[in-house]
Formats: sequence, C-alpha cells, structure tokens
Amino acid sequence: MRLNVAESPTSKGKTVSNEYLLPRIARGEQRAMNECLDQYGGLVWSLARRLCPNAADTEDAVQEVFVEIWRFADRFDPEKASETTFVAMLARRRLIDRLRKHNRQPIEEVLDDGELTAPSAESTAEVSSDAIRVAEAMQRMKPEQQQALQLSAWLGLSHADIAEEMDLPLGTVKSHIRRGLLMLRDDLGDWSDAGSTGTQQ
Amino acid sequence: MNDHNTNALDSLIEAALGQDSKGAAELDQLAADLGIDNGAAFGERVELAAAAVMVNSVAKATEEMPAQVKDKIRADIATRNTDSNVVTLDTTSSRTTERSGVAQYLGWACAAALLLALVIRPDSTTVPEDPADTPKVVTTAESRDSLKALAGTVTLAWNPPEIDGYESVTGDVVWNNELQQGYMRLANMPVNDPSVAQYQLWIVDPDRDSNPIDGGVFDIVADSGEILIPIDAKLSVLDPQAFAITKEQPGGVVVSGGPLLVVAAAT
Repeated sequence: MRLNVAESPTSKGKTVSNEYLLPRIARGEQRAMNECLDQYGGLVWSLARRLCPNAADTEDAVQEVFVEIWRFADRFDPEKASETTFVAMLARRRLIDRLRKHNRQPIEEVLDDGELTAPSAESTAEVSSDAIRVAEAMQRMKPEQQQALQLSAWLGLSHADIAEEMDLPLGTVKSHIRRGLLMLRDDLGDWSDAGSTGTQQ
Repeated sequence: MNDHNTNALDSLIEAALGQDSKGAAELDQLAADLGIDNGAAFGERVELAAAAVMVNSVAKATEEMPAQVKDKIRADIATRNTDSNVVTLDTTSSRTTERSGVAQYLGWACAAALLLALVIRPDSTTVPEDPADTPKVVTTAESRDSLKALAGTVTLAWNPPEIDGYESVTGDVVWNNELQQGYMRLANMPVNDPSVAQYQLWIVDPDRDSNPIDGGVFDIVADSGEILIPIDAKLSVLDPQAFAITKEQPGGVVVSGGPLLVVAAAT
C-alpha cells in the first residue's frame, strides 16, 4: 500500500497556478493570505490549542505559524503533500519549537484527550485526502502503536522518552513508530530499502 | 533491511520528528548510512506524515479561529508585505457586493456635510527601513505605527460624536490609500453584544461610488479602554472622504440606514 501523502494537482480541479493558495501567497498576493487564514485558520488554531497552555500563548503561536506560512509558502510542492498537510507541518514545527523553548511537555493533556484517537474515514471526509488515508491506516494499527505515533507526531519526543512515558521497551517503541510511518507513507520504505543506490528522491 | 539499517532509519526518523539539535548535517549523515542522498527531503516526508497524523487527530474537533486573532495576523502580514515590497493590492475582492436602492443614501448626506467642517491631518512622511527578515510577532499597534509613518498615510480624528452613548468616543483613523490599509483607534466605544448587533465601518468614497464602501464589521467585547482595529475594505478605495461607524445586525449589512455613530472626515 502506498500512502501518497499528496493530492493530485488535478484531482479536485486544482492547478498550481490558479487554485492553490500557497503559490499565490509566495507571489505576494495579499488576498491569498486572507483566504489562507479563512481556509486553514481553524486547523492551525485547533492544533495550537492542544499544545499551548493558555489563550494568549495560543494567539502568539498561531501568529507565528502564519508568519511561517507566509515565509515558506514557496516551498509547497503539491506532489509531496496536500496543502493542508504542508500547513500542518509548518504549524507542527513552530509549535514543538515553542514547547521546547518554554520547556513544556503537555504529555498528559495530549494522551488524555479522547479526540486524538483516529476518527473514521467518513468524519474526515471534508478535511483532506491525506487525513482520510491516515485515518484508514491508523485504524489498522494496534492502540499502543497509534499512541506511540501520536506522541512522536504531536510532541516530537525522543524514542526513549516515549518508551518511558508508555512503559514499553525502547525497541518496541522504535518498531511501532517506524512501522506506523511506513504504513502511512510507503515511499519511506522505498527510500529506506534503497540500499546503496542513493538515487531516489 | 539489516539491523544496522534499521537502527539508522530509526535514528533518522527520531531526528526528523524531534527537530533536535542534530540538524541537517546529522540528518544527512544518517541518511547517507542508508544510502539516501537527501536526508532533509526524507526528513520532510517523515514530518509530513506526522503532520497528517495531527490533522487527522483534530478532524472531528476543529475550532474556528477567533476573528480578532485573524485581524491581528492580517495586520502583521500586511506590514511584512509592505516591508518586503511585495504588496499586491486587492482590487478584486470576492466579497464585493453590489448595492442598490435608495436607503443607502440615508445618512451619508450627513457624512458629506461633515466633510466641510473637518480637516485632513497628514502625518509623518518618514519611511521606515526595517526589512523584518526574521520571524517576529508584530502587534497591531506596531503595524499601525509602521503604516502611520509611511508617506501618503493620513490620520483623521473622529469628530466629537453627538449620538447618545457615544459622546465620549475618541480616537482616529489611519489610512494609506496606496496600500489600501488602515486602522481605527477607538477609545470609550460602548461594548456591543455580537449576537445582537455588530459595529460596521463604512468608507465614503464619492469617486468610487455614491454608496459607501463596506469597511468590515467588528466588536467591542470589553470596556478595555483604547482598541485598534484593522480596516477591511471590501472594495478598492479611490479617494476616501470620510469613515463612519454604524451598528448593524450580526455580520453587517449591504446597505445601512444609519445612524452614523462615529465619523471621521476629510475636508
């Protein structure tokens, strides 16, 4: 199975030149940034709310995330990921960076939040094709594999920290995360199996 | 894959997701151990997978970003666009709404009359030099100050209001026509209940149309003294002669019958 964490540029009638927001932002279209706020504001806000201790911190965080989106919009490649996933990746980087700077580890909050279990594919239908594929893949994972992957994805914890948090052997955690990611993206497996060819991109 | 490669892959994944101090150089080294010629690109694919997991996690519980946070970010980005000289004016807003009828003329005659009594007060003409290459959270106040310092920016004080309840409102409007950006500064503006009514800004621009331009809706949610609100003009403004605030139904209206609660006007 290949999880191609990308939406075909033409799958929804989109083309890079006239539909995706990020290339328009990269060209300096101010209106595109406003549309981006409308389109992805809820997602970024929701992600930040999970990882920030209060409303003021959340506001600062989302502001930083959208500055990052504005700065790095030109790096979006629709062949690699959907726009939604790319925006979430920039948000993740900034939010984890803030966690580190403030030495905060909201492990309990993330673990205890029932919303972080994988929703059904139907419930994600309006989110993105990536999220649907992830939902389908995660439904095939064992609960502890899901949890290890969630901790790694949300908090960027080291394997050792996740092993300690979940009270599992380090090797088990590494295996859960590796196999989980390979289930999400088969192209990682393609790459890691490339051996000495070193030519795949 | 042998144990060595498995360990290298685990380390590469951990480094990519952890954003730790290993950085690009170590990512590349780990990747090289696996025969991958671009560790950063591999790491990005891992990050994208993690991001997709996060998107999936919040899919059922996505919340709306508060409007005031959006406004703050818009103001921040607008300033950065200005500083980096990549401003593209929004002259084709998708939210443009045609206005018709006669009701829209009510009240605007008052604004026109006020034009005779008030004076444009051009502000500083100094252009700041701040490339702002690094991420920095800019407050709305800083964005307003930056705009105010630009050549071509005008500052119009609110005329002393005469409407009951609004007599003590003070402040001004800062507007740059070239950039199509501006801010309202309001002090002592009465609190509104957004579920009942919202304030709406109108921009009087006879060169554009006899009907005023919708400048966006906003709320005063707390009696917190002075507040700064970015102006969200829904049409390109040609030659603004006055700015006026009305109180309308939630979400605003296309045509307002007034009354004009607060007005700032040019000559």
